[in-house]
Amino acid sequence: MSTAVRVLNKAALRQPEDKLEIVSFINYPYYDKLFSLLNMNWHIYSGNRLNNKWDNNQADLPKNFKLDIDPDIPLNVDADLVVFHDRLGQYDVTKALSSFWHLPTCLVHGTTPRDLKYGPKWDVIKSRDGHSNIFLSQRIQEEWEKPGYIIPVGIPTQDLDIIKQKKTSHIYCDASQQKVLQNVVGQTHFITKGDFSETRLFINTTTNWYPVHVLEAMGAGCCVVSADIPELEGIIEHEVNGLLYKNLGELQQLVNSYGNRTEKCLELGQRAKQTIKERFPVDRFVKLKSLALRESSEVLYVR
Amino acid sequence: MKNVLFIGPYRQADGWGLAADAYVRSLIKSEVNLTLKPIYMGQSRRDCPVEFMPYEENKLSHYDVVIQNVLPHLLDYNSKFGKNIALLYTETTNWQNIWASRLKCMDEIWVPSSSDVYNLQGSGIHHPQVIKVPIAIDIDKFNQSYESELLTELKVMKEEGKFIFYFIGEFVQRKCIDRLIQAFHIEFDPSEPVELLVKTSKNGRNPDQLAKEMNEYVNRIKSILRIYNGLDKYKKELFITNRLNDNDLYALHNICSCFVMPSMGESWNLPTIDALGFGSTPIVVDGTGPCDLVNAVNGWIIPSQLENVLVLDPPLPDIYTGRELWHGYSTRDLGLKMRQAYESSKHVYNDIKASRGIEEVALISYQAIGEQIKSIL
Repeated sequence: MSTAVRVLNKAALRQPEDKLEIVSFINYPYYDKLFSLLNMNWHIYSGNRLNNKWDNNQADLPKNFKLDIDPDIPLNVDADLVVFHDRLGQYDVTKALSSFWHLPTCLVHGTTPRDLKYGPKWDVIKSRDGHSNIFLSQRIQEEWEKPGYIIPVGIPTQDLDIIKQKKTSHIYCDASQQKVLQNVVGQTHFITKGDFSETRLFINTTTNWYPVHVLEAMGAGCCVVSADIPELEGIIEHEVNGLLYKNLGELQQLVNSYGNRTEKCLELGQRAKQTIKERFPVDRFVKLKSLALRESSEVLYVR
Repeated sequence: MKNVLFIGPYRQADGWGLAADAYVRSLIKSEVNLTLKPIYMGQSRRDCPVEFMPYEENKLSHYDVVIQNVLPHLLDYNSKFGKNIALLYTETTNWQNIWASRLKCMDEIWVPSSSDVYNLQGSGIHHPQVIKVPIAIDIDKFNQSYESELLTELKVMKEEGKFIFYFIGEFVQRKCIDRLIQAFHIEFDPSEPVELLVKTSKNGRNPDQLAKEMNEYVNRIKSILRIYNGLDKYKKELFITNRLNDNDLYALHNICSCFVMPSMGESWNLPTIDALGFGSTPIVVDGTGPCDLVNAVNGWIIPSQLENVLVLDPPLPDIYTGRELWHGYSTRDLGLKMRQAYESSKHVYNDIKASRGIEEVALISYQAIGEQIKSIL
């Protein structure tokens, strides 16, 4: 069984070349899989009250991920750091794990605070810090008004040949509003494992999580039609490298307007892909994130 | 120069924290290349002393020594350190739990007092490397004067010629506050110019709650004693349940006459050592940790014999069981020592006794213990 002293010993003896052992949680597998790009081992804790199922439809479980389904504190990990996100009830569990092991914590802010910022518990929510913070964009950091690292995600771009295949009229969306969308835009297909090979229009309706799947679709050269959310500000420029809608009426209009305009969709998709190449290179993500997590693991645990 | 990692509760605002703080200061004096990492074994917190901060940031490529100042069940041997040292405090002997097996895994065991060495041996730990390293103290504080507005009433009592016995410690069964109260009322008549002050605290109680609890507690004791016909006939004890800062605490030592530590199990006890340094000729129980410094020349020793531990408020589930032993004594002997201390205050030689205590604590300055550590490492 790992103990606080064991963890403190390990932290003191850790060498720069040692692979980090990180305790984290399931968010959305299509997002979580990005962390597998880092040369670290991820112990995914999925105890009580947390999302405890890895959805293989979104992504296969990466080789450097280990699921721990024990509802109690995982006992056999000599961890270096706990990485958690600002949603999904992870804060309280992180605090307990961190306190038990005397482990530093790193909070990744994937979203802006939105309506929380104007709610009565904003001060409490804002004070829920990690020993270090990572923000996926400058905008997110500004909204949270906290210091920390700004590290955009890294999105692998897919082969250019795919463009040739994007001649079908399939329309994909995420699962949450599939039925609603069917009424609005007709036949849709639920996206699985980031396979965009036949996707011409990619419709995003997710508003409550960092839209990694949108960026992936852009990286694959899809024409994206997305809800206009703060996390995409400065990434998608309407009718330049994608399409943004504010309500389902606008979405319907855009789908009607672009659904059959293959050349226009391919043009927007090409520009989207260029945006992803320039703004979300994988090597920069891996370098910055690795450095940030290593520095975070060196932060002294204090209460 | 040795690279030393110290893991301890020096960021806690309690007895553990104070003791760890003292060891850190001694380590700094010992001229080792020091790295500090805090551990938390209690609820109380304090800011890290500014002078410790560079050591918390110190990251070395390797360590010759790790000192783990934690409860024994938390110890963790790691062969990457040249030497693994456990630093611990004990109150009882003949342990029945896993502590002994954990301690035996370590390369060296440091304890502050002879009482601890005895407790380890009685628990089956005949480790070849059990080393006594006393908890050092800031000896400069004994040369200064302290004033406290909080203690004005107490100061007036002293100026009126009252002899004030006092106790500083947690309100737990081990400290035997009940015996102190019994001994005081049995031994002294209310007409005598003698007072009893109890400065105490209890985990989870605020000062008002604790004051109320203490009053009920002493009334129960007085009801059992049945010395006088009515609780109001007893001399009223003085209670301090607020947290005192260092200045107020030292002023308390300066004002009061004789410190009493009635506890049956003490590894070291900082208030007793402070009292010794301030010339308050402490009364302690024979066999407990403070007896390394307190003796018949500079204080008063209550004779004791080993007794089974019987408490209702053990700090951990598997310690202080009935099979463990500590230093029992008779309440009568405690009362007699208090009487001797009071009577001797009328004689000049009491000043000599007090000065001997001050000489004794000079031996455990940060510098002195730092040099001892240097020679051990």
